[in-house]
Amino acid sequence: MRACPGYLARAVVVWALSIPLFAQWIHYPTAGVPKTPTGAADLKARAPRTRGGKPDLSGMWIQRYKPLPCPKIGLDDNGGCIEKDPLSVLITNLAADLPGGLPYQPWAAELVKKRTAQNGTDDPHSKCMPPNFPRAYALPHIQKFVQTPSLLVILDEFNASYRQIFTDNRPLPADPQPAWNGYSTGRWEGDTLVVKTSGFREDMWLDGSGDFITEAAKMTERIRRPNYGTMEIEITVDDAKAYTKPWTVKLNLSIVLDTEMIDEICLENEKSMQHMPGK
Amino acid sequence: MRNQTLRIGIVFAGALVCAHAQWLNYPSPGTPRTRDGKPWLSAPVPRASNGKPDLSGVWQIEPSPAGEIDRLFGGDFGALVVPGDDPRTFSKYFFDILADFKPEEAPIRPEAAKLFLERVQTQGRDSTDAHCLPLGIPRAGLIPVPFKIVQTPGLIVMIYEVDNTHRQVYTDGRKLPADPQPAWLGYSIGRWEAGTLVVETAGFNDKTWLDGGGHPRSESLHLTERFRRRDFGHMEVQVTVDDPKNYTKPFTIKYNTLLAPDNDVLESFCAENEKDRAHLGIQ
Repeated sequence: MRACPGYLARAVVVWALSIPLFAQWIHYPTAGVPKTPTGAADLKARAPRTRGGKPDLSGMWIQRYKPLPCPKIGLDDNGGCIEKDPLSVLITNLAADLPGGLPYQPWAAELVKKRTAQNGTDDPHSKCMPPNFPRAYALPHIQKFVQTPSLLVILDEFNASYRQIFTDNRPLPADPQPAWNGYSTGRWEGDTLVVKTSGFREDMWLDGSGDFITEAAKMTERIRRPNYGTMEIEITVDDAKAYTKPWTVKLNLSIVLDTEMIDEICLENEKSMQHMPGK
Repeated sequence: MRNQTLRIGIVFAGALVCAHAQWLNYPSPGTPRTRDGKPWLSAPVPRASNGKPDLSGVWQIEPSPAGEIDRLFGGDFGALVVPGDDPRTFSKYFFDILADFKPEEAPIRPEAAKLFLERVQTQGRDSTDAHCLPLGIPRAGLIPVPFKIVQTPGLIVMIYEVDNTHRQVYTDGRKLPADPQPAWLGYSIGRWEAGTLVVETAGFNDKTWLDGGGHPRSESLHLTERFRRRDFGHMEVQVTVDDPKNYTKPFTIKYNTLLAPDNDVLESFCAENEKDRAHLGIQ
């Protein structure tokens, strides 16, 4: 894993941006949760299925992989961390587990190196721009999957935003309007939803270090729900403009129960940008 | 008293919206079509698997009749037209949610009326959209920008092209929370009354406006919306505004939304490459 002090600095900034989210949770019991004999949620139970027999990905999900240490400003009076869903190492390096790191072409590697050295001062996410996918899978915001037979919508707490994945057998458009989330279609291969995306905007950041994909990128996500509490997402990016070969990373999301999402509008009373000069 | 300057101010304030990107033209599956392949908009209302009317689709508010905006707000708004953004094709309610009332009969409290006039006189400079903050509800449904309804048995999702925001309407029988976190889009529950979806929303913040002109909303706002899909291509919407802090009694607006067939909501991010605020005198 690469090490850089900028990662943690960036992490603290992102962490601070996420605080208002936790002011007041809504408590509402999630319906249909399988239970263990003791009455606890049985997260290892089988994944639910839709009426059509497909796995049902619906539910609220969040990233809990390899939490970063709680920053000092995030400690409560008892030394505990105010943040109950700590930031994942993936927010600073989406490819943290990829042996050898991302296979950049030299010009792209140089650009990432520069961004990392600048503490990611140009990061669009710090400027309240969209939580674009696949980056959104790593950010500390609940995502709600709403699955219908012809459409999968992913709602995101950040900016109360959303992404659509069309599952009505349409082809990818030949020349889509470039978009932060591109244009996504999905089809089922057994119990795996295979989502193909193209039509990205240029220079979409993948994490706080400045890793990125270009408008040439084609992304394939293989999404599975192996049990009630887990979503597995295998992401393959084929982007010949920035990389020497396609690369694949695997992420997991964890189910979130008995609550609801709350609007988090990043630009509301935004005071942070002026303090982010970089280096 | 609303003089012409104020009226133009209402429209100018409401018109601070970005031009929309080009459309996608993918033929929506399940759309009934006439013999020539065009969407059959007067076809019967589709039904969901649970037998309820299915409101799913891409919708947009119907424009006010030709000439009505000029007549109501007293001016020639052709001068404010920019490509993709013509205030004469908006709904009157987007500019003025109290447009149906004579000014002296509008059920607005004096403090709220004063605030409204200030907002009109400053031409919407403090409007949330001038700051790239959400329009919120009901305004996001009054602007002529498409929104999409995705209906499932226990949850109806509305996704808006404007601000790229989503809204959830819980139809699983839950009650409104007693003291919800104030939010831009509120907390919504829905139930069916015959063929009409009745949505109750509370838990609003007071940061955005009910309309482009600047009628205020407070945290005490309670909205009741009634959605009735009349046929495949038309949906009637009634919105009742109950905000006792700002208005002397509840009032109701009625408008139609039109299906936008073979269409979709596209990304729209106000803060991207934003250059306007400096010219509005906003830091």
